[in-house]
Amino acid sequence: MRLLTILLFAVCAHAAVVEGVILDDETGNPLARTNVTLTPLPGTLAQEVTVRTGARGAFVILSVRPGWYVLRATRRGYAPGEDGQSKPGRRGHAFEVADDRAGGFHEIHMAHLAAITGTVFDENGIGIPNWQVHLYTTKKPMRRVASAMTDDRGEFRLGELNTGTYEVRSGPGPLEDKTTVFATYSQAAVELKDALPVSVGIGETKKNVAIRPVKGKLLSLSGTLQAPGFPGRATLTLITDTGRRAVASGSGTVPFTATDIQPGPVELMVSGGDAIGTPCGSFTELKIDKDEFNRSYPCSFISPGGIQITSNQKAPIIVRRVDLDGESDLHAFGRDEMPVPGHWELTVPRGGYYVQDVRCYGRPCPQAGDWYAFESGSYRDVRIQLSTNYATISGIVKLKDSPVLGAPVFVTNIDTGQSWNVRADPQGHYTVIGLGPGKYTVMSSFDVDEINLSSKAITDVQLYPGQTATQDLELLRP
Amino acid sequence: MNAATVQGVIFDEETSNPIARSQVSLVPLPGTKTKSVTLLADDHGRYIFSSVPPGWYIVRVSRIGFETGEFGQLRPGLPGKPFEVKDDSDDDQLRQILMRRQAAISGSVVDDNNIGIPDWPVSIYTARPPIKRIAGAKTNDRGDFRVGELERGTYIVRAGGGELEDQSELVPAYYKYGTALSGAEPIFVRLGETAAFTVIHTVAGQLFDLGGLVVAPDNRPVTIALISDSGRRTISTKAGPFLVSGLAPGTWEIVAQGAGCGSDQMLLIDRNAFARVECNALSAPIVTGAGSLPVYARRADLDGPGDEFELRGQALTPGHWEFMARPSADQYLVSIRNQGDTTALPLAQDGWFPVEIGTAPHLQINLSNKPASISGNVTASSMPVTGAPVFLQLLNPVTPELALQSWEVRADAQGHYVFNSLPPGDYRLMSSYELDYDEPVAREKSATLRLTEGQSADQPLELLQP
Repeated sequence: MRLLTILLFAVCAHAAVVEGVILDDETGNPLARTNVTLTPLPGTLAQEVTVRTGARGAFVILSVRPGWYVLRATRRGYAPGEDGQSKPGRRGHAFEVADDRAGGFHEIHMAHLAAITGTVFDENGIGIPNWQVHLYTTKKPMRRVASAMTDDRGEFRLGELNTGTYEVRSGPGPLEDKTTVFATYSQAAVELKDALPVSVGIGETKKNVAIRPVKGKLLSLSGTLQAPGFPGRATLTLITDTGRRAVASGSGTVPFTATDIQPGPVELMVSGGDAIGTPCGSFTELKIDKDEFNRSYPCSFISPGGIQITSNQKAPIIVRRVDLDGESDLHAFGRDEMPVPGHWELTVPRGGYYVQDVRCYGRPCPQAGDWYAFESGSYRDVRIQLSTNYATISGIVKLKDSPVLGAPVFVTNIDTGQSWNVRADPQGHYTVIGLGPGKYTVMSSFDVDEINLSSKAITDVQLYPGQTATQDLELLRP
Repeated sequence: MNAATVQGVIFDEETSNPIARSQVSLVPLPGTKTKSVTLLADDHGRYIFSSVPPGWYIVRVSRIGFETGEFGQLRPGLPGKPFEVKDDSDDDQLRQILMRRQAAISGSVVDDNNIGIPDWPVSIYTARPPIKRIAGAKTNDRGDFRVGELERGTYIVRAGGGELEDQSELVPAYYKYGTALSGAEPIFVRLGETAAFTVIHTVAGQLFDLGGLVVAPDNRPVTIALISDSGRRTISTKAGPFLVSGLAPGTWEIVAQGAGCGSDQMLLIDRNAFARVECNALSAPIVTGAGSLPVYARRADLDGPGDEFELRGQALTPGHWEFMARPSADQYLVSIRNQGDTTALPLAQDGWFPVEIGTAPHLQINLSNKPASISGNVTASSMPVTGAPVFLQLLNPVTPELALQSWEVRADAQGHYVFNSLPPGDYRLMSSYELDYDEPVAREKSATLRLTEGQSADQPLELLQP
């Protein structure tokens, strides 16, 4: 007991308090209920701590061990803010908490995420009310990331966007007189190549984006859903890049007609179960350029283990479904899971290994960043090869020959687009582990958004399996 | 060869742009022996009615988000002027109609630091009794909201209750401040206007949990709706326990619905509560006294009236309902109530009779063959006013400044008007092209009369001018 008291005393005597306030950058008003995370730099033996600001935006973190830390604030609708950032959305600077001293008062300004607002106009410049508007990333693979409905004046707002360039598009549909309009990109483009992309940055609202839907004939698709007999049932979902809708649901043979379909690619997904709950499903891709009749969509038996994802290391496998209308939520792939037929993607969280190879039925699965695409439906096995023989890169970040403590370091694989970002320790030393072989760019900066990524100051490094590379970096400044 | 054409263009008053695809109706005045015709304006806002028989007409335009417009109106929202179509009449006159946007209310829901709260529910209520929730919205990423398509009038705006990121709780709060309706500040909006900057300051408070037990025959799936005056939440469940948290203090209605079963109960929640929810077998309402007359029903839950539909032997979930029928000119609707109900008859608002129904309702429709009527001539400087608009209100006997029901007719070519199928009661009526019915001058100058059952009153009217 006495020992415990002494130990406790020792711990308390060496702990400090970190406190501060989180403010809205635009109004200067305090931001209540914001998450504030104190993260130790490499070499500081402490755990990451998260607290919430109180009603007046203030926070206090008690019992902070001496060392070097980064303070980060996160809140819905805002870009993350860091203490010492040159402006909201940028990387902050680390600070030292010394023995027996207050860790200082920290003020973090947070800026709203970006937003795009505009109007969907008819041919006379009158806003079309209650019309769907979709937002897509311009980067490949192009994905639908948000949707909104126009208000009574035909105006829309798409908020909570990251900095980037987007395509804005109105949905297809019938007007009051049953004439139809195509899904149309801003400002009046049916084809993506004619679209006018919109770029926004943190704290910005890009206003007055106009969309003038183009008139054209929408198509219909009819046929039957072959669902299991009662009490089994199934649902047929029509998926396009402007959303999804259930077009048939029930038991046995269910006729359906889906109208107002934009010419182009569509996906038809059946999912259901028979009388005893055995799952069934099917997935069909079509390119529609005329009205389609008498199509039949079965709910086929999905065999357990119909898809097997195996890995040579014990690591969780995270999967998501990818439809024409975007990505599903993530979940950990269960061993006995029977995924609905269709396009899926998987990733393995980073650990003491790297993903050496992912094979779909013997061939490499297509990779984009950390994600590998695979198909579920016909029998396929997916094999993941993880290797602990990873490469490591480390070095010192300097500014005019002086080490930069806590400098943010970014490592990117040029071929796969995978990226890592770490902080240097108080001596400016950084280390990134778990890298696969390949060509990488390495750089360090507090102001990444203003760095020219094709600049010669960004270093290329070729890594081989098991290699430990050393690469010192000069801190890049705008 | 005896028919003419009537044509024109529809414009937006604000931008002067033509409005495409509006619904345009050519409505004959009483005495012009033809039917009303409706068509859609074309892409350029043009309309053409061809083969129009001779007579007197008005042209009326309606479109979502705009106030109904009429040709010849002094300003949008007021009645238009009728015109005569003669044999082979000049078809080159373009009858332009300016449309004005309906009203809107916009604003934000903010926390103690004036930071907008995203995804927060907002409700709009009519400020004039009976207070009803007529629209809902959610705030956007900045905590801003907009509710459009409102009629000219006075409204109360309220933010809903809920839980914040740190699990602290907010109770429903009215614009500008406070949780009590008595402290709410009503907002008046005119057509074409947006009442902006309606900032609602939220109020911290405690929300409660409702635990319960669902009892349903054969354990069939049941949907439970928890309804308050600021919206509803729905859960799907089977027989057994359920738990819903985050309910604001106040009266809640619990409606259970399953295949062929249902129930309704009211619960005052001022602490964590428990409810036993039974899904009882339902039978379709027996309706007597209506003959072949269709009877219409709509639910009247705490969050506002539901959609209207015709009763055709479908079972109704117990609870608050409203019913109405539209009898012919030689009858009037006295009451719709549960058979055997001898309590005082509640007042029908806009012709809808409120009825509390159970699992096996028996509705008694009471029609009378002795309706009252009002007729007369509208004159201006002793000359008859062709097609004059005439407004009639049945006054609420308890609060005569409020109307129970309103009607509007047009006089015929000779300035003669008729209202049929009226119940006995106190009435107020007037005729004007320029005054809104609730303007003080109109109230002062309108005629009032009391009708007894079966009475035919003659009421000459002078066209009111401001």
